[in-house]
Amino acid sequence: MNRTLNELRPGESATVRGLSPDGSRNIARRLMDIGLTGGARVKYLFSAPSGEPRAYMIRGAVIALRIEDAALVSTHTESEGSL
Amino acid sequence: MRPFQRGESRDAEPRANELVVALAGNPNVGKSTVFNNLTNLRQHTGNWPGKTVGSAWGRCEFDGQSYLLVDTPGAYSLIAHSAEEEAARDAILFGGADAVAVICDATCLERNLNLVLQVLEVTDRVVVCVNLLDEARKHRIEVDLAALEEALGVPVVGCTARSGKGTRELLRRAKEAAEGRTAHVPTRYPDDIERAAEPLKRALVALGIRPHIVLGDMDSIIRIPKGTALLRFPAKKNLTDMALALRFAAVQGYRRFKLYGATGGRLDHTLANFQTLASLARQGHHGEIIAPDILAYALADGQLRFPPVQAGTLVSVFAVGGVAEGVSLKGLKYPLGDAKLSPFTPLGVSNEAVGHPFAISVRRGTLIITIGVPD
Repeated sequence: MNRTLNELRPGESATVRGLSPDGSRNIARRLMDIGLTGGARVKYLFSAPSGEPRAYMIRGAVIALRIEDAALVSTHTESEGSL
Repeated sequence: MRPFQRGESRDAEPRANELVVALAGNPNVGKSTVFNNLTNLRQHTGNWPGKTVGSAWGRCEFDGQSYLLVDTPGAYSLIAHSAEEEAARDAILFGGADAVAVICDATCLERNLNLVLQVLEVTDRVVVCVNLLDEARKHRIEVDLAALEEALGVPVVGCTARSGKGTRELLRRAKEAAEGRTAHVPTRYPDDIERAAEPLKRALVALGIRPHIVLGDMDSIIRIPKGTALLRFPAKKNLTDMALALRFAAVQGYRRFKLYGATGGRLDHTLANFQTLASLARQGHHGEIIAPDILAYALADGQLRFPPVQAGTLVSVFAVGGVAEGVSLKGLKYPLGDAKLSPFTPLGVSNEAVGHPFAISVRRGTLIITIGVPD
């Protein structure tokens, strides 16, 4: 199933397919720098009480992302709740 | 090993025979722990924004060699996204380090290798330090240091900085890297980039020019010749690509600069490049803008002599930055002696060469000189 990173449910894992360019904000480049490149496994851990930011496990580190930034990352899940 | 001095980065001037080693790395990989262990400095270590403000430095001596260690703020990337990353980038790229030690976290090595790659794109005087090996062992992670060293072609040192294990080895291998004794093979980029780089590479080879580095935000072109270091900057930066390139080259010790492609389609960038040319002259460097239809030079408090050019060639002189005093033009159709040129009056435009050598001098002030290229 193809979804963007912000659409995962807590505890769900996915594989990164790619990133959408976001023009001059250049957040996509930043996301790649912290490890969100094609093929990377990522897990949505939990969110802050207000729903944002959200904590993701990315290549061995927990990283907080805004929903709008997570929405730039397209992911693929083989089967639900596989990890 | 003997630590003997400490302080803030502003006072740190390398001494003779001292090796400058910049410590780079992602946030929270133990850079400051490595730094403290080697310099006996009790720098605060911790995890909050702006912890390493600016770059701390310290000295130590090991095996008869003095080292100046520069601790830089944590950075995920040389493409800076924050003030800390900018400070780190400047220290790594422009800080004049003899070697860069990239400190990595053994528990998430893969993510750390992004910065290693970016540093290797700029310089092969790199030593990779895989820190937190004790943490990794707890997580049952084994790091094959020899295989990593083989793959990267630069020294790789395992380290547990908390207990000081491996830090001396880091110094020893940093010296090796500083002396250029590495086997790093230049990064190979994806085929489409390598292919796109071919025409540019052929053109440069035909001119007898081998680029050492490609630098800029790459917002207009992505053509990187094979075997060339690549240095990307964010599009939202303070300086133009040209100014960044000159700053980079000046730090490498270059003093004579030829600027090509400086008068292209954009008037704003053309003006920026003329400003940059003037600033080169003010710093005592020699700069020259070379374009198909015009050559331009800047001159600050001094004299420039030119060989003969075809009679009738237009030579223009402009004061920039303020009034230029004591301006003399010799060997041109309309000579000038000890004159004052205002930056607001184009008095010096369209003089003419007469086929003799000519000289232009200014006692105090900055001049931009343009020489038309005959058809």
